[in-house]
Amino acid sequence: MNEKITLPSLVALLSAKTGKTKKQCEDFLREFFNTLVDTLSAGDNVRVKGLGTFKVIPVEPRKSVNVNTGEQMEIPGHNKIVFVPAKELAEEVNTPFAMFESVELPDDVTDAEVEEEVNEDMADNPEEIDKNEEILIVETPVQNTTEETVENYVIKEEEGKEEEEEEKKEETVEEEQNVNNVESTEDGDKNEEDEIDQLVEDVERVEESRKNYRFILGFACGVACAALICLGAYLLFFEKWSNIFTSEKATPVISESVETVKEKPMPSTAIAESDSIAKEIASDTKVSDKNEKSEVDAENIAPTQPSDKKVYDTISKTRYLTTMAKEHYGNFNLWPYIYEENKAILGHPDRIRPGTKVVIPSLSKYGIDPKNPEDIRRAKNKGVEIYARYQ
Amino acid sequence: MDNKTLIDTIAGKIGKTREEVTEMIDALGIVIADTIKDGDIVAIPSVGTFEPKLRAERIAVHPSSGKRLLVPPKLSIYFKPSTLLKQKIR
Repeated sequence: MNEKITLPSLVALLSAKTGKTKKQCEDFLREFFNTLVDTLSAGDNVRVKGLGTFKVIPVEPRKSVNVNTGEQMEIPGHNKIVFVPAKELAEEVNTPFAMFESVELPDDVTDAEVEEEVNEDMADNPEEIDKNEEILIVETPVQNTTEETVENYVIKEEEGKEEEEEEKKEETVEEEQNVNNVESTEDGDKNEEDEIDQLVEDVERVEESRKNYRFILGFACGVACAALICLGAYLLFFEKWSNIFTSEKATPVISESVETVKEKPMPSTAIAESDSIAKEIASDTKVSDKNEKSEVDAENIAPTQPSDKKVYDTISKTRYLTTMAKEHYGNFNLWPYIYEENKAILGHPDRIRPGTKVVIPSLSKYGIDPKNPEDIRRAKNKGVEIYARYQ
Repeated sequence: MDNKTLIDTIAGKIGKTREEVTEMIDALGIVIADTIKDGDIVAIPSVGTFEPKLRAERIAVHPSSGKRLLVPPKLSIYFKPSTLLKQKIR
């Protein structure tokens, strides 16, 4: 492969073929090519049987532009040599591809599909097939009988089995083609054209509705997810708050019980002599132990209360004063109190830099009850006031 | 110049019969065809080279019937004249 056969090797091959001496072959070849060149130089065509025709073709002068300088120039007319191989030679050379024949292509096959046919294995991509389908449907003139096939096709498609779909598509496409072949010979009416338009519209509408359906489905999913998240968040906060409230309620109870404990040992120690009383003492001390434990528990719970300690929070891109107010007070309208507490470090309430650390004040400091609508209204007014400062 | 006159000219020059020259030319055609088929290049000094060329498959339109045809790939022979010959025939 790709070896260069020069004159000596050609001579050797020729002598092997004809059985003549190399000298004779070389003489012949030299003379043959000399005659060839001479005849061609004289402007004559040479036809060699079994090899082909060497033609001398005149080329007319033409104008061109120098690519580098952009100058106009004229390429002078000259002659060129064209070699047309003889039929035998061409056929002999082409033997590796001789078994192929030209294949007639159907009219409505696009170039893309031919490529697809070539790589049929790679045609598993459903989207591409969808596109091709659309093209086919739109391109092929749909007529009375094809209506059924198109509808069938749509119905089949809606069954939503991709693998089966492919086969069915091919079938329907073939059907359409057949119908076209049969009916293309018939006279065309204007009614038919109208029907075609209608059908194309129908098909498009069905496709659109499918898209819409998908869209609605996706939207519904999104809404459901959002609702779930909201519910989860609500439950989380609600439970947190309910815990805090219960602990708030729990503390006074405990303090009361502590008082009772303190009171009880006094009489018991006063009457310390009798055994039965000693038992009472024991039981009382147990009670007091229990109460102490619950007191300790209460103390553990206490730090979570916003009213007891200074609570800090950090502003972030998704966490504003309002989110904090909602979290700590249960109502986002109460954010102005957080703002008031941190007035010194905050600027415009809408332009707080993420990462700013703010103190969450206890509402009791301002005498606010988050459940009182009057207080909420006041907080709103306060918010308006704060905004008014920056206008 | 057609085949007959070419053979006559060559036969007169090398002093051989026309039959012998015809036989030689036929053999030359077969030898060149064989070499090209193997994918080799036949280079003849001061004349040119015979090269194989692969024409890729393509889609052609039948001129009269208007049908589209998928034309298969094809090996063809291509003669590239040498610069010397090109200048001679200029």
